[in-house]
Amino acid sequence: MDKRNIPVLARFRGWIQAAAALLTNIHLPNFLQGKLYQGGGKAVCVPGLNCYSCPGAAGACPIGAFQAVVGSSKFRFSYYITGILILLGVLLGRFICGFLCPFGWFQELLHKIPSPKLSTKRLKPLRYVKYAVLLIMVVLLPVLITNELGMGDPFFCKYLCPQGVLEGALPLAAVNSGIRAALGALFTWKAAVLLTVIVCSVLFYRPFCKWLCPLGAFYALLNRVSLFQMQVDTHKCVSCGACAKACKMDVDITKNPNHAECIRCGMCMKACPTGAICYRYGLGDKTQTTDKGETI
Amino acid sequence: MKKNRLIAFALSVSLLLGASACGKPAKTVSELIAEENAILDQHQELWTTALNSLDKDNLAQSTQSTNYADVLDLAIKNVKDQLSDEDYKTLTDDAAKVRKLEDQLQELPPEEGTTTPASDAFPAFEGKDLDGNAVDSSLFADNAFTVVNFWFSGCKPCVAELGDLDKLNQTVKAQGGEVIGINTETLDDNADAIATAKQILQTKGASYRNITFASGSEAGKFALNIMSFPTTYVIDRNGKIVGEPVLGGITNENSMKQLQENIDTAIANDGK
Repeated sequence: MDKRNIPVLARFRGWIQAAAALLTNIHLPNFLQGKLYQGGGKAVCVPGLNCYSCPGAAGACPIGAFQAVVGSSKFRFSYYITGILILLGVLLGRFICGFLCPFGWFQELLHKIPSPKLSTKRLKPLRYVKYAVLLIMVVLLPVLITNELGMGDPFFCKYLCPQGVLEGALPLAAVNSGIRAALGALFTWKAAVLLTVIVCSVLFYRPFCKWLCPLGAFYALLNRVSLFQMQVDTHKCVSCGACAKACKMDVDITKNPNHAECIRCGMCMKACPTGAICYRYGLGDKTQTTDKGETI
Repeated sequence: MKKNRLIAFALSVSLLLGASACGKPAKTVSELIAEENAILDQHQELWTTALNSLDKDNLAQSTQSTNYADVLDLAIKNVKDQLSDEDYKTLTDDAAKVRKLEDQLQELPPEEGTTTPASDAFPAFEGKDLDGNAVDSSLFADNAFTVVNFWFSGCKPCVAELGDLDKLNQTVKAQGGEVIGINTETLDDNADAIATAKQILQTKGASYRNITFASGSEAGKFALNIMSFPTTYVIDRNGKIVGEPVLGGITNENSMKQLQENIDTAIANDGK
């Protein structure tokens, strides 16, 4: 395998993920003090799933912020956050999952723990659960189930999100006795969800991204129209099937280069014996093949 | 390939350990204080003499500073004439070491269960209630205890307990207590936020006083530093915070018990 054919982005993906996780949670001293950063950065969303209540968080979680807005008595939909999400989705799509999301990186690191690895190929129908999570827990329930003042709960954050426990509840409870004292049944449930996701992440590749993540679901919807695309050079492809075998998101890139589940991780590029797969960024005819793959 | 796996494994383990160790400072307050004591104990006799030289006036002056090294320096200055050069050097060296530890101590948040005298008092304020009547921190003196509930209008659990807080206000009146609400959105006389807050209070049937003050005041900074809502404090007649604040709604049994304990402490200490 000729390493020169693999784009820089794919080769240094692990480092990019680490840097993105660090930048997303740059206020490190807050971890010691059990404080939250509350400055102007919190008015903007970070691209990945990253809890607002993480002491280090530099920005707001798009999914959390969306629920907070639609759950308030004043609004029923958040155009501001939906706009940010569509912009990110069109610019990058699920590249965000593969490169920028701290929780995606966390699951990948867990998956590197040696253990028997299980295939998710037979579990493909579970992929659709995440769209239900997005529609029901994020969009509908916070608007529909409200108190007498029209205020709803952020259902996804409150009942499902494991990232909230990992980044918010655990570090805050570690240094703040008052928060520790306030932990109850809800925390026990969410900690159990986190533990399940951790165990599953060791056995499966990115189970939360594949099956549950509402943010991944949103970007998945835009993956097809995203400016960040995969391209397969049909002249170079020898139909050996190595790419589909290498894909841990269970995508056959030769059939559908811009599948909703493709997180642009580049494992197929590394597996391709002829260098037929490349990244492509920008507008234009996606089906046209070039003699030499453009790489970025 | 194997090397890669090993590196990845080491990374993930360190991440897990890192996550679990998150938020634990290198040294705790009590460890630092123990180190300070150990330094002073090495030359105990010298220090006893030096510290005994401090009289009330000195102490009043030195306790204006929260840095213990200032007190030590003052003590050394007092007894300087009686000391040999060697002893003087010993003491100043010790004081310098203590100062270094004190600097670290000042960086740390107060340790759980120990509250420093400075953070013990509820910060002073001058402001208004939501109907525009002037209020200030002297209101604590009117009651044996005051329950202060911090909330904001967009906080569902905060709004959910307003009715319970009103009931609590009726109950504690007989015991010489009062419930006061502070809605952090209404600070700085924010008219819109005050209108919203009043409407919510009315809907929930809450008639106890809610107050607002400048966000730049000491009390304002205190309020904006709170990150869990609702948070409920008990303040005694002297304006001092009693016990630890209750975080989260008082609607569950545990929190109510904790709040009641704080109230009982305030009543027991009143008039002592």
